[in-house]
Formats: sequence, structure tokens, C-alpha cells
Amino acid sequence: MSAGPQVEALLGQKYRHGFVTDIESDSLPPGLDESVVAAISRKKGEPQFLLDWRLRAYRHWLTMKEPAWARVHYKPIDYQDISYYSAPKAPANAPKSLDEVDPKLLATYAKLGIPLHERARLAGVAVDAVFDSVSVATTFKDKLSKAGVIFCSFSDAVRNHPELIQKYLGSVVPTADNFFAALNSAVFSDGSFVYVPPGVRCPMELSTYFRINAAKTGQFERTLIIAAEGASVSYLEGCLPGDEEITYGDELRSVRDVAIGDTVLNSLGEEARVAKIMRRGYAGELVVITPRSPANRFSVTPEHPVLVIPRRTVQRGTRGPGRLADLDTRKLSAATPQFIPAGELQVGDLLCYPINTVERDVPSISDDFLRLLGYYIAKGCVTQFNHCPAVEWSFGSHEPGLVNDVVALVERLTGKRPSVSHDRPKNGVCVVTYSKELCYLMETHGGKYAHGKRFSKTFMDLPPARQKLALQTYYLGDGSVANRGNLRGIRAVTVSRQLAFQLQEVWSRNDVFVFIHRRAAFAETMRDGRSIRHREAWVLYHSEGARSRRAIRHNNVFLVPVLKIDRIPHQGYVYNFETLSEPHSYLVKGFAVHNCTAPMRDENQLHAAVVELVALDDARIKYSTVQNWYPGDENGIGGIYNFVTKRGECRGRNSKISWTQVETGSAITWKYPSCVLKGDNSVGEFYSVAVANNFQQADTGTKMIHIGRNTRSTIVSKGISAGHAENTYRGLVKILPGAEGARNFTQCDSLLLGPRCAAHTFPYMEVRNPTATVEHEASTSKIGEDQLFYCLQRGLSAEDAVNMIVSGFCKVVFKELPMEFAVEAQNLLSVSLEGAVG
Amino acid sequence: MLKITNLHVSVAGKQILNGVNLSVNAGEVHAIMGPNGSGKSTLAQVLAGREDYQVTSGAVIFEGRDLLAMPAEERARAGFFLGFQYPVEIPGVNNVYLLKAALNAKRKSAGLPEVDAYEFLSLIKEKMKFMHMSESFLTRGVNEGFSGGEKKRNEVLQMLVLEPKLAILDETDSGLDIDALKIVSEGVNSLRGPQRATILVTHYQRLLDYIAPDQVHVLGGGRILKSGDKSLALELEKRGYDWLVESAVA
Repeated sequence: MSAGPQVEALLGQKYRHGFVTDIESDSLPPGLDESVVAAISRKKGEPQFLLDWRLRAYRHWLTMKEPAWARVHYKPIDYQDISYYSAPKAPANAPKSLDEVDPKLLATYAKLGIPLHERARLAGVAVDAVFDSVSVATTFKDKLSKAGVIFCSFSDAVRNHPELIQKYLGSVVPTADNFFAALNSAVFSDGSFVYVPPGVRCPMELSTYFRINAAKTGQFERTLIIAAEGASVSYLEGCLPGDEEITYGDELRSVRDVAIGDTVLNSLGEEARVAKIMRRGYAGELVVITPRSPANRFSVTPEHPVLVIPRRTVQRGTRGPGRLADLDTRKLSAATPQFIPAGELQVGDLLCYPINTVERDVPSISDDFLRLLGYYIAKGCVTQFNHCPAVEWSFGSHEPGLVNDVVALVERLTGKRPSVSHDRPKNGVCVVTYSKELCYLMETHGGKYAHGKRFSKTFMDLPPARQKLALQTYYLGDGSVANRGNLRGIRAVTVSRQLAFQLQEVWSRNDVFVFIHRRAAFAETMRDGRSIRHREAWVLYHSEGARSRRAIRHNNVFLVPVLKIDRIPHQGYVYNFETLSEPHSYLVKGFAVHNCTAPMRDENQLHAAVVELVALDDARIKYSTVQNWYPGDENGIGGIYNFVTKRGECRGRNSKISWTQVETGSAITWKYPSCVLKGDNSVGEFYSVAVANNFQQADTGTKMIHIGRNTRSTIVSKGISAGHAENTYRGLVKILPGAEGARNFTQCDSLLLGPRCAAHTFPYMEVRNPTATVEHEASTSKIGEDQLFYCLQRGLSAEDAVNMIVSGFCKVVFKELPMEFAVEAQNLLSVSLEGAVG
Repeated sequence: MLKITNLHVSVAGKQILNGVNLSVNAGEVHAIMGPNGSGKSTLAQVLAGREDYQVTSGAVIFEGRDLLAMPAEERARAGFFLGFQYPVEIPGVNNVYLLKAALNAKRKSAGLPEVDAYEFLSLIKEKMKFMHMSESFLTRGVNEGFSGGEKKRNEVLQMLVLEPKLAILDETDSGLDIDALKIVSEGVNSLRGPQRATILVTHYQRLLDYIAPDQVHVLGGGRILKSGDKSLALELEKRGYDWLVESAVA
């Protein structure tokens, strides 16, 4: 089987999230000596024993050499060039409001024990979007402390439980264990601590997620987990993408859905491809810009260039900001919008809302269909009666004109007359048609459920005149008109946020700028005493008639004045995109901004963590990792060096430690989660998927040290290599003379994608007890053109086919992951291997 | 439905097909026979869109579209199916999962809604019953650990689910015992209809006892040497291929 052009085409993948861990912070200058170690300890207010311990580690580290046996190649690291302490600034505010968070997200986070992201203050956030690092939800802390489980940052543990730290720290990974562990012991900044008391099953999965993002533990973190007699705990370490929201111009999207190759709109209202996505840690102020259409509020970093016409350049007099009346029309028509850093914007400046110029007509979508779609979005739903899929429109009995219109449209489109039923007590009229096809089309082009109503991409690209057909019927259904003198105010209210912004765009293409504001959820008491709860909704407003327009059309943009500028402190990630073509700009909530000029770092960063697990008699620890750190670009520039020491000790009888890892990130991974099986009948497990693409290098595996009698271990390792990557499995199974009846089973499989990658397997075995059983299976296979072609011939796309084949290969390991992680891992895998998008 | 004109194909510089002409109409079943190395499988693979083969000249029109210009997955979605001579194993990928993804890919491209898991399960159970396959197939990996006969049966099962317009079955009969051959033939026959066509690539006349072809072609030296009705297959069984190959050279 030769890996042919199709497999190769799939390997041109770029990574989705590049990030810089730098944060503006209270830092020590680069360099390392005893005074630096002492300074770290002092800054953290540590007791003397810990300082002594750090210094011992440091002195030993000086005598050690960096290991060279791993199959990884990198430029020598200058340890004097690293800053060993950088504490993030304390965030100034910690607002809490969960009303606006998608309930689905909350459910997932709740299961994971992940803190809840308040989004109220970020309601308008788009591009330089945000992780809230402050809100560690207190609810789950209560639950844990009720159960007696200690779960806190390492620093807190040093302060509050020094006796546990003194007893267990370094008892599994001694300071002198290896070069990187010694370095970590000397300079570690923070990390996580877990203690599960005897007999307690930890009531939830614990996650480092918030630790990393809240405490910014940085490059040298330290984790210590202790499960006392009969206790059990499952711990997740990983980096889940957040719920940040990005706008595409025509559609709002969560940042995790933005991918390289995606199409966004630029400041000319044309399509542009996303070439690079950057994420960086950021501590500082964000500028929150509220235009005269408050729902379009957005936040950016102060240096982020925003496209505006400064008011002072086109002003006639000095009337109040926000008014357009005092603008000089001649000056205005001669003015050219310019990019100005957000930090320099002033109230009254004119933001640019570019009008989408993309047009792709689809003749097979008839005008009748578009009109019916408008009614559907306003009044319709997809439902089932007696298991038959149906589309239903509900009107009031005072709207016979609309009912007749819908009946006629359905009849023309489906050839069937829909049924019309009257609900007299409620003054309602229902139009129902049983058509699976119509259900499908309505759902596809109009969305489902009131809050999920949205136009399809196909619709959003239709010529404006055709879009207007749906707009008209939508407003017949959901709009209202109020006449004030010669001004006609036109309003529509929707609970779908997506739809509100889409309507704004469709209107803009039809030469009208509509304003949107958010109406918060509220409860209303009716005259009969009933209470009605209204969901949060978006109100669209525009007016017709003399002197009505408050946004000016200027060439291909609408100019919308800035109403308000706020500054809020922010600590967390910010995002930025780079587009493929000129101008390098994109739209945030419809408004044009330039690419942020903050650079992505090119140098590599060292990450040297230590994780120690201790399981006493009958205790169980399950440790799962999903790691997707920045692997460097497709040329191997940048990326994280991940040199991690992870070890668990089954100290007690019948104890069990299980490692599961999915490693898709880092430029270099050097990592061998291991088990020391001291207690009789103890069990160690290692399940691993390691993916290496482009120039990534992974040298990973495990060590199982059998000391006690009847100890058992299982190793399942799946390595996937693509591009120029090198993937090495290195495993040691050591059975000491006392390990009577010990058993090991090892299975190592490697999968190669493409002709230039490599996989190596180094299984070491030392068996010093004749009663032991050791089994080893290994295989290397290629995703050949044969498997791929087979799937293609059945109609699957090449990308789907590779994803399917790879996840089949990894199935045994994914089964070991907690459910939410398994889904995440699967997604990560397809991201890591995705290529040839478009 | 399918019209092949003067098709020339080479693999790694070696010429395999030297001007194949063939036309298949809707409703017909054609059999292609010929000695080993005559280019039968190459023809099937080229039509399915395998990339290792270079079409040096010629044209193939499928349902009015230029087949050779379409990528493999497009051909499949347009209703072209290849029953593989050697179906590959894809470990860990559930047999049914692949088949459901395939069906939905096809439906999606036709603008039809995807079938949900429940609908699909009842569909596949019905087809499996028809093919006398045990339900354990539902949970196994694609062709993983299947016997030769099971793999071939699985190919026909996939065909029944996907309901292609044109199916080429590449030696689907080889490696089958008599009972399995009957079942596979029933499967193929059940799809016969005025809207569909089938091309059987085979070495043996035996298959044609169960699936009566409208035309039989003999492929040799990369082109069609002789075409006829079912009696040609019987004659081949008696006389072998040599007389045809020799007369072609002469």
C-alpha cells in the first residue's frame, strides 16, 4: 500500500489555537540561581521546610545533565533566559451572572465541575474574546468540602495543609529523580492539590481546567493527588476551548467553531479566508464599544485597530455626540474611513458597518418558498402529529389575510392543501401541512424552535431583492408599526439572537440600517393573576419617513455613531485572526476592525510539570489528560516543549492507578506517566493516544514497576504520525524479584499517515521473577489508499474517511475517557489531522 | 446509462487498457469475462475513481455526466457502486456506522434528509435478513475478521442499502460456496429493474446460471475481444480463452 496523493493532501493541516502564555505581570527577571529560588519561595510565603526542599532540588539540578536519550531534537534551552516567576495581576472585578449562558454549556460544565462563565459584561464580546478566569463557582467547592475532599491550588495547600505537603511532596517523584523534575522542584510556581480522605468516593470529576485558567500556574506546575484508604477520585487535566463568541458578519459563531479556511467578511463586505488563528493570554483593559444599536456592542484590546470616521473630521458645529444632524455632508462624502486603535476612539466617532456584497443566487429556491420561509420564521414550527412530520403556522384569528396567504403558498409549493383549524377560545388559527420535505427545507433554511430560528448560509447569500421577500412576510408575522406624525416606526421582536443579527444584515443589504437592543428576560403579572415569564429577546427597530435615518449610508458601509465607551479589566485569553487576502480586516458584531497587531511568539516555551499520585490501601485514582498545546506552525516554528514527569504510586494493597492520555499538542512531548506497584494486588493502567503532525515530536510511553505480589498492569498505546512527525513509544515493564505472580499486557500500535512520518517502538522489559507473565503485541500500519478509497467509493468525503479510520484506531483508548472528554478528544483528533479545508 | 469510448489506461507507465468501448443501458446486466491480467479489475477501479490509474485517452459518460472528471466520492453519490474484489478491513470502525455514513452522504448530496439511527437500523435489519447475515454483523468492525465469503456478502449488503444506479461487482462470486453464491445472486437480482444496471466481472460461467446477463463481453489484452449473449459464456467454458486471444492477435 502506498500513501498516495489523497492522504498527503489531508496533511497540510494548520493548528487552530496558537497561544502565548505571557501575561503582563509581577515577574522576576530572567535567570536562575539560589536567590531566585529563595525569591519564589518568599513571594509565595512558604514555610522553611519547603524552601529547604527547593534549594536541595536546585543544588542537585546543578549537578545533572539534560537527558539526551529521547528521540527528540531541539535547540539547547538556555535556562538562564527564562523568567521563573510571573504572577498574574489580581483581577479587579469578579462579576457573577449566569443568566445569559447557554444552558447546554452549563450542563456540560456542571458535569465537568468547570466554573461557570458569566457573560453579562461581555454580552457584546466578539473577537478579542474572553475567558473569565475569576469565577470559580463556589457551589462545587461546597459539595466537595461536605464530602471532606480537599481540592485547591498548591499554594493554598501549602498554607492550609502543610503537614500533608510535607508528608507527600516528592515522595513519588523525588527531587533528584530526573533533570526536569529537579528543575520543577526548585522553581515550581503553583499547581493543584487533591486529598480524598479514607473511604470517600469523590462526588464529581475534578478538573484542572479552572486551575490553569484561573491561577495561571504557568510553565512549572506541580500536582499532588492523594487517595487515602478506600478512597476514589477521577481527575481530568486538560484544556477545553471556551465558549467565546465570534462574529462572522452574517452569523455569530463560537470561537471553537472558527477554523482556518473559514470564510469571514472583511471591511469591504467581501469574503476573506481565515489563514491563522491566534490566542494569547492577556491581562489588562478591554475597550467596550457600544454603538447606537446597543446589542452590537463589542470589546477589543486597546491597541486593536477599528475602522472609523472620526467625528471631529466631519463635524459642522459642536453639537452633542451621537447626533448626526451636525455632520457636514460635504466633508462626510469626501471622508475615508481609517483604522484607529480602539483605545483612541471617542464617543460620537462613526463606526463602519460594511454591507455584505456577496451574492449567490440559487434559482431552485422559488420566490414562493422565500415568502413562506418568512412566515415560518415569524409564526411557524416543525412538529409531529401522530408521528408524521409537519410544519405548522399559528396565527391570530384577526389575521385571515396571512392565513390565506400561507395556505395558497403551501398549496402552490407542495400541491397539497394544508389543513386549517380554528381554536376559538384562544382566538387562534393553525395551518398544518404534512410534508417531510417541507419540514426539512424549513428547518434547513429557517432553523428550529423560537430561539433557534435563523437563516441558512444559502439564504444569507441570495440577492438582496430576493431576501426582501422573506423579510416582508417575516414582518407581516412578527413586526409591528407605530405611526408618530410622519414617522413610521417599525419594530420586530425575536428571541433568537442569531436571527436578530441576520435580519440586521439582510436589511442593510436592502439599504436600511436597523438598530438592535436586548430586552432582558422579565416576568409579567397578567390581570387575571397569572405570571408570564418572557425570555430575553432582541428588539429590532427602524423607521421610515422624513428625517428618520440615524445611520448614514456611506459608499458601501453604514456609519453608526459610538454611543458609549467603557473600559473593563480583563484577564484571560484574547483571540485574533489573520485573513488570507487584503485588506486584513474582519467584522466584529458587524463592525469592521483590522487584524490585531499583537504578534504570536515564535520562540519555543518550556513546560516542565510534575504530577505525583499516591494511592493507599484499596484506593483508586483515575487521571485523564487531553493535551492540545500549541505545537508550532507547519514549518516547525514555535510551539511548546513539554517535559513532564508523571508518576503514581500504588502504595497500598489492592490499590489502582489508571492513566489515560490523549496528546495532540506541543512541539515536543517527553512524557512517561508511570505506576509503581508497591502494594500487593495493586493495578496499574496506561491508555494513550499520541498524535504527531507536521514537525511535532512525541516520545511518550510508560513505566510499570512491579514490586508487590500479584500486581497487574495493562498498557495500550496508540501512536498516530502524520506530516514529518516522529512518534516514539518507550515503555518499561520491570518486574522485581518479590513480585510473585505479576502480570503485564502491553499493546502498542502505530498508524502512519503519509510517507514522511515515522513511528518507533522501544519496549523494555526486565523480568526478575519467574512466575511473572509478560505479553507484548505491537503493530504498525498505514492508512493506505485502500482503506481511504473504500470509504470514498461509498460516498464519504476524504476528511470524514480519515477521521473515521483514525478514531476506529483509537477506540479502545477513548472508551477509557470520561464521556465529555471522549467527545472533546475525538474533536481534537479531527482538528489535529484536518487539512485541505476548501 | 454508461458509455465508455476508446478508454486507454496505464498504471505506473504500463499500459493496461487499450481502447475499451462499452455501453450499458438502464435495465441491463452485463458480464465481463477474460483471462487473468486482461484488465478487468483495472476497468472496475478506473470507473470507480482510483487515483493510481492514469487515463491516457478516452471518455466515460455516466448518466450524461463526464465520469472521469468526478472525484471518487462524487461518483458514489451519483449512484455508482463498486463491489470490491478484496474488501479492506478497517479496524475499530463499526460496519453499520460506515454504512450509515455512506447512505447519509448520498442522501445529503441528493438534498434528502439524513436517516436517523432508528430508521437505519430497521432498514439494515431487513436487508441483513435478506442476505442471511447474523446480527453480530451490526457490532463488528468493517470487514474486521470476516471470512472471504462474509466480506463478499457484506459488499452485496452495502449495495442493497445504497441502491446504486450502476453496480460493478468485481469477482463477487469468487470464494463463495454454493449456498452463499445463491444468496449473493438473489441479492443482485433483487436490485434488477428498469432504472438500474449491473456489470458482473467474473471468471466463472457458474455465476451466470443464477444471474442471467443480457450481454457477455470478453476482455483480453486491454480491449473487448468479443461480445455476445449468454451462450458466449457457455462457449468460453468449453473452449477457454485462448482461441479468442489468438484470433485477436492474428
